[in-house]
Amino acid sequence: MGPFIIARHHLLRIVRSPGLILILLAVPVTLAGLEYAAFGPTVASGKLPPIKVLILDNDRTFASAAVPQVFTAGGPLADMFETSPVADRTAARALFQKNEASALVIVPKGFQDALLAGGRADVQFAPNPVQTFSPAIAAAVLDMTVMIGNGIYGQAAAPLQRINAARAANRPLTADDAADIARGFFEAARRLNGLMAVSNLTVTSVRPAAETAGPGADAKQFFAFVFPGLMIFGALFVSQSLALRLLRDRARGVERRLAMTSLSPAAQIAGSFLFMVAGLIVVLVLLLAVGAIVFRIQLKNPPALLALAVGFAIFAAALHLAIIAIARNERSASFMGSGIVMLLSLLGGTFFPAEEMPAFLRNVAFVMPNGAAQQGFVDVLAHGRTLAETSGRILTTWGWALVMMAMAVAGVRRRAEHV
Amino acid sequence: MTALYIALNGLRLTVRRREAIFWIFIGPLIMAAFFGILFKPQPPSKVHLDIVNADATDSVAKSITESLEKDGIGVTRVTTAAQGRMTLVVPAGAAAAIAAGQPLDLRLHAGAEETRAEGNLRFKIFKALVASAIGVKPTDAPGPLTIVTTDVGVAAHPVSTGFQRSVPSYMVMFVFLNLLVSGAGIAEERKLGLLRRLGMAPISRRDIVLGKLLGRFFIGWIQIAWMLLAGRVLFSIQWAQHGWVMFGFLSLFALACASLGVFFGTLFKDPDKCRGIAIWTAILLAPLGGLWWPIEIVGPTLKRVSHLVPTGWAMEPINAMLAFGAGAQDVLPFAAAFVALFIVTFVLATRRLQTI
Repeated sequence: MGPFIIARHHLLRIVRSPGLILILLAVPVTLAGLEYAAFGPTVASGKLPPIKVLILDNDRTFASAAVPQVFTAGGPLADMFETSPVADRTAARALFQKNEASALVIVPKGFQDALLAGGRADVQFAPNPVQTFSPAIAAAVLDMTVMIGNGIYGQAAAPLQRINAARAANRPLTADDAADIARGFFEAARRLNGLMAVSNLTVTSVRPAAETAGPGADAKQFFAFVFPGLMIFGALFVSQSLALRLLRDRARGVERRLAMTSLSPAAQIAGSFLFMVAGLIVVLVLLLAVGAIVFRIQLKNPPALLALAVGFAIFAAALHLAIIAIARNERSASFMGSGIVMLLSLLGGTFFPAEEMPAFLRNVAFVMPNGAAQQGFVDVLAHGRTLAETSGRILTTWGWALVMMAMAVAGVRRRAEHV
Repeated sequence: MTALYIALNGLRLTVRRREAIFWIFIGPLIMAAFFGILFKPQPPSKVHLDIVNADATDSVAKSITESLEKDGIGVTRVTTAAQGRMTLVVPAGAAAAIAAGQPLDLRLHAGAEETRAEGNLRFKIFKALVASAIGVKPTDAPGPLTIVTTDVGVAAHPVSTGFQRSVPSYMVMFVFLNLLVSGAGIAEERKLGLLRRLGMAPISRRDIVLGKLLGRFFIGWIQIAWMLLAGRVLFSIQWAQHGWVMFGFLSLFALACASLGVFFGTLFKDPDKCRGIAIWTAILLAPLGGLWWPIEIVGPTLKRVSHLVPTGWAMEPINAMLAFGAGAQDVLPFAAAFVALFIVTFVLATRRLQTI
């Protein structure tokens, strides 16, 4: 009964003064909300926010006026871009600095004349160095449009040049010339017709059966991908906080007082451990409930979720019990705990999706205790995998949990012997 | 003089703690190094694609193959899609659909999760498909239209990738976080009665608050100097063209954060709660200010919010200084915002500590 009484006592203290735990629980919930505010609309619409391209038209001709339409003409690029004219480069720089534009396209003076003369016609492109993805997308679209423009121009230029050459030489066109010129124009028109068909062309990704395309595939899935990592992150922090309470008890002499009672050292250790594990399971269940109620995550396959939650709770509890067993005081424990939580979070993919990491780091992430648990939750909540299909992740989490528990028990017993 | 003594004593006590050393010197470097490596611009790795042609003619598949090979994609023509290999299927009737201007959807058999490489490949396939539709071949002579890369009148340095992004971002985040969390020290001193005892000494309350503020400001300064130095030496960061403007601006940022931290400390009696709220605030404001992800990819509302939070006030001018060599005039509005934040929080903190 001893361990249960100790654990119950600790838990009641938390219930009486839950402020800090609630603040720590607010961190993952706030971050999930923030990530949704940042990326939710993108995920829901399947599109990035419109990319703003600034246009500086120094030519002011019919041809130069067509340049903005490269980005806004419609078809698959419709709604992807918005263009805005600017007076000069300084004005563009001011907007770049405010992050309000992604690129500047400059049409230099003489652009139309160069085109008509068949000479080189430059389109100048300045990416915003503060941004990453949007300028690259704008550059890729401009590149594709130039390819199309050159293709059509190339076909139409040949007959035009033949006409110009004949006129310059002041000689009449032969029947063969006329046929060639007509063929050239016909071919140019055919290509233009192909261009009209561009809006009907699509390339779609197909995934293996029963797989989804990731968080972007379904807006409702967003939190099922994002929330597990934050939940694990929150649980690690709460675990540290619970362990520090035990450490304070030790500093206040509570441990020594308990050692004078009939309770065995093993019962004391078991009581502390039980308190931490029970507290963390409650925290994880609470977070899952918040996920289900606030973020509409469907709690599929409860046995797999419970296996992962209990395994991770044991690991996190054991980790911080081991830390406070080694630490001399609260500051030392806080130092070690924060450092280890930070490293685990970095390597386990809490701050950055493991799928996007380089292969080596990805493999590391999936064998980390938090990485395995996080991916296990994602597998169940987002992909709807069964207990059997998640068994690899569960075993990895439990493996870490048992190893860490052995280390914690050894550490705490060693310390208890010195009390 | 008394304030300075209190400040130096606080600084001495802080740098003795291993935890403080970790969060001032080591933690930011680990984060900056990890994310710098993760977001380091990589040369594009060779992508391989299988193409299955189910169309009666080979024209579309052939044209796409040629265009993709020109774009650096390794293409293999196969008869069926193999499990686990990126495969593009040109459906039956593809050439006829293009000729008739009718819808045509090419299917790319990809992995379980969407990746950036897959997104890039899909765009290249689309480009190749468009080229096929309008009859452009990679062997065609270059046309008159040419794209030339330029700038906006000043030599620009990209600050969006690798260490050039991660080091300034994590410098701002950790200075903000550490100075906010340092408020817990004030709460602890209140709880233990140390501030009351200090109040019994012949020192004015103003000197006490000033001393607490300066101690924290020095910590911020040390961390900034450390990150500037480590950024230059370890990560070869190109810091700002106007070095003193940058250092002056960062000093104002540290001063405002230190004052905010002291103010936080006066709001709580429980140091743990103060620490928890400070961490929560820093974690909330860091992404809102664009420290975790680029502001360009968030919606217009959050873009506006980034202009309203101290982390955003710090990052926007820092990026401007790093990317465009912005000078004092450009950072003035943000510097003024930090001065205002400092004044407001310092006055409030002083008033609250008067009552202790």
